[in-house]
Amino acid sequence: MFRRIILDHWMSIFPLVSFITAASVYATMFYLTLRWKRGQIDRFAQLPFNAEEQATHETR
Amino acid sequence: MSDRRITIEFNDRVVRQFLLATLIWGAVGMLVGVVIASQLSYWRLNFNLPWLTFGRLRPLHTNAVIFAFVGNMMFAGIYYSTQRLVKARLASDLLSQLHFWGWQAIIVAAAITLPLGFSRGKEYAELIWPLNIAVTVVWVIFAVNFFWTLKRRHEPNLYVAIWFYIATIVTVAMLYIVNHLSIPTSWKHSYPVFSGVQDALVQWWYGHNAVAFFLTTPILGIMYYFIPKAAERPVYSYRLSVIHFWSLVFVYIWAGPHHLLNTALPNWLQMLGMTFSLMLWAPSWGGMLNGLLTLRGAWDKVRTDPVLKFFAAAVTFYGMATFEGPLLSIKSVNAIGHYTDWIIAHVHAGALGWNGFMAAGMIYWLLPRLWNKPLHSVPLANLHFWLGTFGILLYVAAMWTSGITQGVMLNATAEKGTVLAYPNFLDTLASIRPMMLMRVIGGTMYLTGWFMLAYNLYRTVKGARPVNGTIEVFVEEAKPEAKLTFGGMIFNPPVLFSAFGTIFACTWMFGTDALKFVGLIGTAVCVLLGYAHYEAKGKRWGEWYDKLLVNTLPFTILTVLAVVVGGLIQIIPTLIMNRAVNVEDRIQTPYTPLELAGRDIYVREGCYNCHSQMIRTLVSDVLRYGDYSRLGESIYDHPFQWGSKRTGPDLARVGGKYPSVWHFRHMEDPRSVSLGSNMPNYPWLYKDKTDVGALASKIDVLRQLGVPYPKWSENHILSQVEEQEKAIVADLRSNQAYVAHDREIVALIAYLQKLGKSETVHPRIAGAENTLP
Repeated sequence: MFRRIILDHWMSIFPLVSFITAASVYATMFYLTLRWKRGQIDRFAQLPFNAEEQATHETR
Repeated sequence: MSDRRITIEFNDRVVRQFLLATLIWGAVGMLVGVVIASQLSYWRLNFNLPWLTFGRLRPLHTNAVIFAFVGNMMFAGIYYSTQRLVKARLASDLLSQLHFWGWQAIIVAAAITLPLGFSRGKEYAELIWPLNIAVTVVWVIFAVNFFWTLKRRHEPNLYVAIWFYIATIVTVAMLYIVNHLSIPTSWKHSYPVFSGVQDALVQWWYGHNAVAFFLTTPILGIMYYFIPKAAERPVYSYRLSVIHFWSLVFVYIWAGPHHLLNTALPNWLQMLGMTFSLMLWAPSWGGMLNGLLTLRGAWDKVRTDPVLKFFAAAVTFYGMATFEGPLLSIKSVNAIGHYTDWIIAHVHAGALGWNGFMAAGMIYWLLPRLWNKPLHSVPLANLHFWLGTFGILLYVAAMWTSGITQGVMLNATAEKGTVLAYPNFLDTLASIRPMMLMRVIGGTMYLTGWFMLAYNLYRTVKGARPVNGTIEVFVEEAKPEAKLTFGGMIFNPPVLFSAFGTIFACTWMFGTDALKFVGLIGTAVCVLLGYAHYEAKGKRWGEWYDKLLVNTLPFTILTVLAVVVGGLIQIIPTLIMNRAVNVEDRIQTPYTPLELAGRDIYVREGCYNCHSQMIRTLVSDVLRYGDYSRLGESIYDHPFQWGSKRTGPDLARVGGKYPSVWHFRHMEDPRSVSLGSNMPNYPWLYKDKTDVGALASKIDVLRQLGVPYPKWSENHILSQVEEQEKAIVADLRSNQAYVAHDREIVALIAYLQKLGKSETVHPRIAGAENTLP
């Protein structure tokens, strides 16, 4: 009843390539964001606070 | 800069509408959840009524919570925050109203059709094809309204929350359309174009990424807007939010196959899914820490402010759930957790903790602002928080205990792995019954908290007049140098190096010996050249990225590419694989017309919610259910019915295991043959007639989809049905069981007795066409 199945050694390459691919994306983005200027970062981070908002009853 | 100043009034009406819909559908979805949890403890709560049985209500619960509750919450949050972040009113009031009312109409239609048993038989994709079209149309309306608003914006830079919304809109559209491709057989029924392993892969590519791009990315966008606003300080690290976005969007899409570990899915896909799932730990926890650390210096407010309490707990639950997800994707852990309540614990930590608490926090924050009146009762909101938190903990702890207990018991063997330690499935069910009851208590506590929110909202809104936000903006002319053309988007170093790197990596993975080597070298060269080029011409990379951040269309197209790549690399090889190669050493024989009718009854009753049809390549599975399932054994199954939960045992090889009279008695009253079972009774199957009139159209559609049915006339189909019915009824009569031959139970028995019966094919000649039917 028990048969050894799916013992293809070539499959071990998939975890390796997956790891390298994902790690490359992380490393690239990490490196790119590190190179951003502080002023630029702060400008983006402040975007939710830029609008001085007032409340008004519905007009339309 | 021009000195022209204008005042913009936001469309907060549609936000209020979605907010109220969130409250109502949240209550409905959770209430149905408590009902079905109670049904698992007390089978009598199925009331012997077709439209109240677990199998039909469970899809209603999942669809209501995902698409009605979280969907409405997401739309409210997106519309509120987008208008403020881009300093523009929603582009069209008409489209906003069409979006709102269209979505509610779909939810109502789903709430009617699912209990009636109109189902496509795929989890979270059960809605029938006319509703699938309606969902697509409404989603397009949403997308047009959103992107049109971005086009009219007065803030050139796109905050990271907007990126998450863009990824949500484009990815959900892609996933939904592909997984819902079907051919109708009538206005209320269709067959998916994919079958067997292909359908399984597409379904879980969709199912997993529905979690990723419907329940996670939009809520992360909401987190990045609302937590800084509530804490009154900017996000902890904007850099980290950028890394979080690209890493999550790129990696999430690859992880779908972790829902099919140890099954008949090709092993290379399982390995790919497992590794990418593990890699998800990094961005998920990066995002969680970014959310929590935004509260730095504001922790004292968490003690008193219910909004921050809900947000802090929600992000913590996000961290818990995203730690547990990759853990469960490890094949050996999955062998215990899969098909058990452990998965239920995992998804509810996410749904109740992350989605539910983010929704509650957002609603409590928005209420005073949308009605210009303080919240009716802060102590009641705090009580809601504690009741909800204890409810989740009770629920999750109960399901962890239940899942691990049942998983370990089902997998336990004795006598050096030659016999099962607990051969009777019902012994494992009996051992988890107390935990099932605890789940009901935990869920009821959470629902009670939600009703407190409803009461608080009612008292806050009562007598208050709704208000819209307004802001003054300076109208600024677009800078021509910031435009990014289509050519500029594609033909630039970052995109080209990424594209070639991906192509070479695929060659490395899928190529034969020589190609594999070329792929390896090409990948390495791309990485090294990319790095060298960046060091030499880093300014060009930076300029391109700066332009991307203010150009919506190129940004959207590149996001689509990032998510499409993962899907295509997994799905295309499975789709183009020769079907004969797929079968391993067994191939399914097509169902007879009566068996097909029985299968549609099985799908209608939602049997897949509790029974799998997939014997995994695990010793305990093989000992309990028989030889492991082959790809070929479900190759003609539109839709596949591998399932994701075993509240009852696997049925892949149930055909011939019991006599027909056993099934007859079992469906009438499961406890008469399986003492202690929690399965509902199905009395209507003994009264209702089998729908044989639809068979000709169904068989015709399946033939179009590649199932090798001959061209049968309608009369021939009916005569085959009658012949098989009469044979089953005669067998039942000889065992003192009496029923008319044209009743649904006969068709269902025909189907169940077919399961696991296939034709043996010699593996070495499986590719030869003349060996196949």
